Amino acid sequence: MKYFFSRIILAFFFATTFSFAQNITTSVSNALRYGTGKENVGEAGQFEITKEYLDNISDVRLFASNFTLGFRLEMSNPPEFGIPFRGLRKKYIEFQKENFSVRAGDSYALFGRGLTLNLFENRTLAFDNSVEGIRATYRKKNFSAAILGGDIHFVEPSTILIPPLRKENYQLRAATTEVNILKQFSLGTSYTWAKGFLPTFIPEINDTIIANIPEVFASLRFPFADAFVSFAEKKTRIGNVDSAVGSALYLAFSHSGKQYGITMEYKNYHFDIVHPFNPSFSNIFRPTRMLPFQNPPTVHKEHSLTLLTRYPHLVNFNDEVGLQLDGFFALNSTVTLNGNFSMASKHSAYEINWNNFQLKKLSRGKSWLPSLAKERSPFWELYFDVDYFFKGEDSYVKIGYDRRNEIVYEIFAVEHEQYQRITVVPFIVQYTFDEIWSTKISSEQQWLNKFPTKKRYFTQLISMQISRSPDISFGFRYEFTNSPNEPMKKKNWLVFECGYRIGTSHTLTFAYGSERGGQVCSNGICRTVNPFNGARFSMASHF
Amino acid sequence: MKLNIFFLIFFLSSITFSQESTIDFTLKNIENEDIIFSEHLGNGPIYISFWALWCEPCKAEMKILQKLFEKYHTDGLTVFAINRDTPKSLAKVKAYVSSQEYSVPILLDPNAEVFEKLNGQAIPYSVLLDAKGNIVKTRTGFLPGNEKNIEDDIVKLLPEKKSLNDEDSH
Repeated sequence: MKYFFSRIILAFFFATTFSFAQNITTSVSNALRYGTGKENVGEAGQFEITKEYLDNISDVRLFASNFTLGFRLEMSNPPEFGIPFRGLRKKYIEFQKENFSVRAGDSYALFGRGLTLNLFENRTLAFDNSVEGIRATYRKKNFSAAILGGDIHFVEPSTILIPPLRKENYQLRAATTEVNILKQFSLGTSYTWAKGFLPTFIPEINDTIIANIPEVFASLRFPFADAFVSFAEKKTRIGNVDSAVGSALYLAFSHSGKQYGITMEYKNYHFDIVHPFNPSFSNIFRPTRMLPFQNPPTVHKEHSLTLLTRYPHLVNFNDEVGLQLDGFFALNSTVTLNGNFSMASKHSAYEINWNNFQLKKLSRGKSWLPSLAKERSPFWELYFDVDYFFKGEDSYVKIGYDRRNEIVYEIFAVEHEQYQRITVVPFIVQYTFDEIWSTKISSEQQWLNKFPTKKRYFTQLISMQISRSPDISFGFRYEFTNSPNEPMKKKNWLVFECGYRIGTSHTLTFAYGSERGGQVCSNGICRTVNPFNGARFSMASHF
Repeated sequence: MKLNIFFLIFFLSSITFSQESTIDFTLKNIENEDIIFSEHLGNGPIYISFWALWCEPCKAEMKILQKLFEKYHTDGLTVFAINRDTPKSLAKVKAYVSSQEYSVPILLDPNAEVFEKLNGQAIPYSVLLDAKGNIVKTRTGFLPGNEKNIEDDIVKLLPEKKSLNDEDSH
């Protein structure tokens, strides 16, 4: 405790000293979250516990000449989610001059599109794979390079609520370079080396792995179109045995013209395809899988509306092939059409012969293309919406349609395959009455069909928000379902929310009621939000 | 102990080198050209807005920014609309910007390097800086009607103040 406060005093002493010094720019942000109520926990949310949390996160940036100093003070005890923490969570110092920068401390990085290295933080997901070490970058007109070295102390987000925590540690060394060979064409390469210490089922024993991940990528750029291709190969060694080789290919092409744009993407991820008879087939933590510092593109649409994100497709980066086509067309200055189609499946299909317990590889389409064969656990989604803007583009109506099919095939228990079909119709109206008052009303309807039981569940979500610019907003969110599978057999959820902004620097929000929870996903990473009944308060500040 | 040394080095370095503007970063624009922030100082205010394709309020603010950019660019306003889409949707950004015919400079920050440096918590997040690069105001969120406040804040920092109302009255 004494140590914690001495650090706080020290940090703020320097922050204030710098603030009053000449040529020092200071930026401080603070996020305070408090909640009290009841939370449903357990695999099916069957246990109701009393929940009270208090999180306070202060981020400080000091800019002086070519230097930046950043640090984060955190008190999450108990946290809303994640791990209790009290102290100095992050710290770094960075020097930047013209084309060169070097940073010591906590760093993030992205090489190519993330097939080898993508270090980032997402607070909503309690995901953070930052490296503690040194990063240096150099950029010239036709050349760029970066090197990185340090340690990653990673906590699996999916295991955060299940003690004991699964912690993985990595020593990381990585480098990347990109050269513009022509104005329209650039070629790049990157290499990541990592030594990982991963927990096993026996608490005292770690798996020690060595991973080598080289990558090449290239891009073509024209005013009317862009293309990008990246290929990475991952070799993983456990102990002294060469144990696994995987690879990933990602392609993207986009074309735009006046009032329209289309994007096509393709993924072929097989970082760690495991034969179904391999004992580690069902082990999602097997050491040869894609590692947590890699985060390639998901290649399917990630939505921001509540019900569209309720049953997400979980990308299997170790064994998935897929594509996505996305387009939009501005019919005129008031009407915009958006469409998206994505499809994915496993590479191969297997069937078991119960007479001799032999697995037979089935011919179900080409393995480099996604398939709809159920033995390949297919997923597809079709989405489109129309936006109509009126009253000088301050008001709009959006109506959409989303249809999603997914089968999770169980080779050893075909009768337990999970097949679901989801249809969602979102409808949003935002109406601006004048320069001060506006309202936003959203409706989302969802039909969930589960097979082979042929059960069909309906969910309706309605929300309304009234805003008085620039400082006040208030509203409610109501959700109903006829599904009998909810914790405590609950069917209705109602939350009242209000927000108040003090100047442009402080935003207060208060919410009271019951929330259904669900999964939140971003960039292929998901976290389960538990159902919650109670009050939440937050204050976000910038100084 | 390590921490104290860390702060001490920073403190001494700051005193030694502290002479000029303090915030700087380099990002690629959608044409893959490097944009160095400090090279745009000195003309007038700089408005930095972080946005993403999945963020509806951000896209509403983008429409406003385009109008403000067209209106005040010749008076010294610089706008950087920094896209925060992760690699998953990076391919769509250029197509979206082209189709909307935005002329506002669009920069890419796919792993939130600059967002984190400028202390952002959530988007839409905007930072208004004066001609010397000092942070004047930050703003998180966007509601219809906020455009008037944004414009007022910008106009106050223009080398020659020119308010919308004055112009309209002529």
